Amino acid sequence: MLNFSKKHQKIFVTLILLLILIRVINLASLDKDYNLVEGAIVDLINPGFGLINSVQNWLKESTRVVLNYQQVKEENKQLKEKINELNYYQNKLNKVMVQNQNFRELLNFKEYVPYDLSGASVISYGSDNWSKTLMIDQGQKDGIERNMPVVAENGYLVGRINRVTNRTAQVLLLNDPTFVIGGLVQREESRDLGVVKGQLEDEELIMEELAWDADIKKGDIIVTSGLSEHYPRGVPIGEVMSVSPDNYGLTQKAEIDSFAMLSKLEKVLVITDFSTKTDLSISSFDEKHPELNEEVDR
Amino acid sequence: MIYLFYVVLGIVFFICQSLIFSGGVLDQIIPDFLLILVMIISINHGKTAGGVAGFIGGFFQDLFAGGLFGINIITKAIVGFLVGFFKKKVYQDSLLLPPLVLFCATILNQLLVILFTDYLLRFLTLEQAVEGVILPLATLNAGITLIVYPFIYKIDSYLTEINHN
Repeated sequence: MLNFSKKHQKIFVTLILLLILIRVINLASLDKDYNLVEGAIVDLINPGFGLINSVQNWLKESTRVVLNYQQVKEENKQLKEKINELNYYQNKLNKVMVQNQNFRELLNFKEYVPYDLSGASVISYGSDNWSKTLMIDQGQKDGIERNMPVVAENGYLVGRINRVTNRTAQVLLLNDPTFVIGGLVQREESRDLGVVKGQLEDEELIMEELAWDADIKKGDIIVTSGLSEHYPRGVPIGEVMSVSPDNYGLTQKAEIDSFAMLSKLEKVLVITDFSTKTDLSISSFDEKHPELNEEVDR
Repeated sequence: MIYLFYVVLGIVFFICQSLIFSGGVLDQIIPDFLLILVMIISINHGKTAGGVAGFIGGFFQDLFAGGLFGINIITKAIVGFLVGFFKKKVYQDSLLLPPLVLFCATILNQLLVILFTDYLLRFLTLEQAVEGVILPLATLNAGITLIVYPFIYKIDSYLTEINHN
């Protein structure tokens, strides 16, 4: 054993020095973007990934249609019914929006400023077991920058841009353990604040730092608080599954089931510009103002 | 020829890890195809080839993974290099030893990842990491090796023979 150590002394010393070096570099570079070379390699590989991913999706969809013909037929019928229903609500919503704008003008409120979105396709998911990321086919050339929020097509929070190259970007998903965001209980009587985090060993999110007397219960909707400059207020995050005391009863914590299907995303939207004053949550408007609702129906 | 074979295999394994099995297999665990390939190269071609393969495989994995950049480069290079020492001690034509090597190498590789990424232990205990990720991953990697190793070994031996001739 001693002979072996002596024989490979140089190798051992080099290895130890290398480990120390890497350790120091890593301590300083937890939050870093791609450099020029890394970015160029990622851009070179990703078109191929995009192609393979499209073929994979096409194969999956085609076999699903063939193998589950009856189910797809039923799904198609249900979707048609849903479209009719949504068209009705769309018309209703348009009327409410016009009316809302009129009220805003009457009350001298600031004009509602919608945020800018950039659509992107998911190319691939992260390839290790210690982080939750995905790659999208939009990058710096499309106006994507680090820390921009990413939502699913239905508006649910998915994560934020972690690293960017010219043509692609890596999204850090909501359920990654290093992802942290301010959350707010959407219910009007509560509006309590907490910190929403991902968990390594579980798909569910966790909301911590809730006050010991915070009004939060199972079924509550959690939205972004808008206190950080990186996220607009009111983007839906998930639903409370359970609430329990934390820190020996000094605070509470809640388990959150994310609205977005984080492991099955195909398309996402990157919010490229927004105002933190804009509240995207749709509160229980109908319940609170039935008179307006009746007026709209008329 | 043998280099070309491993380059093509590397691309196929990389695609398997990043696209086809990126949703996870057993309890959402993503198999580490690149580590499997690095270990096979180490067992068949020794420490230098294993170390270089580990460095390249780790680099590509790091480009597409979150967390600390460079973590897979160093851990895969170290494990590839160390396993390469056993080149003449592990019977290459044995079907059971390479999966066993993979099982141990995966555990070593993942423990090194945790050692370098100290923030991981803020989110879970070492026991949870071993039970939830490391052991299932090691089992999965060993299982995949059991299936793919005989084919890779046959092709490798054939190509080596052609090279010698």
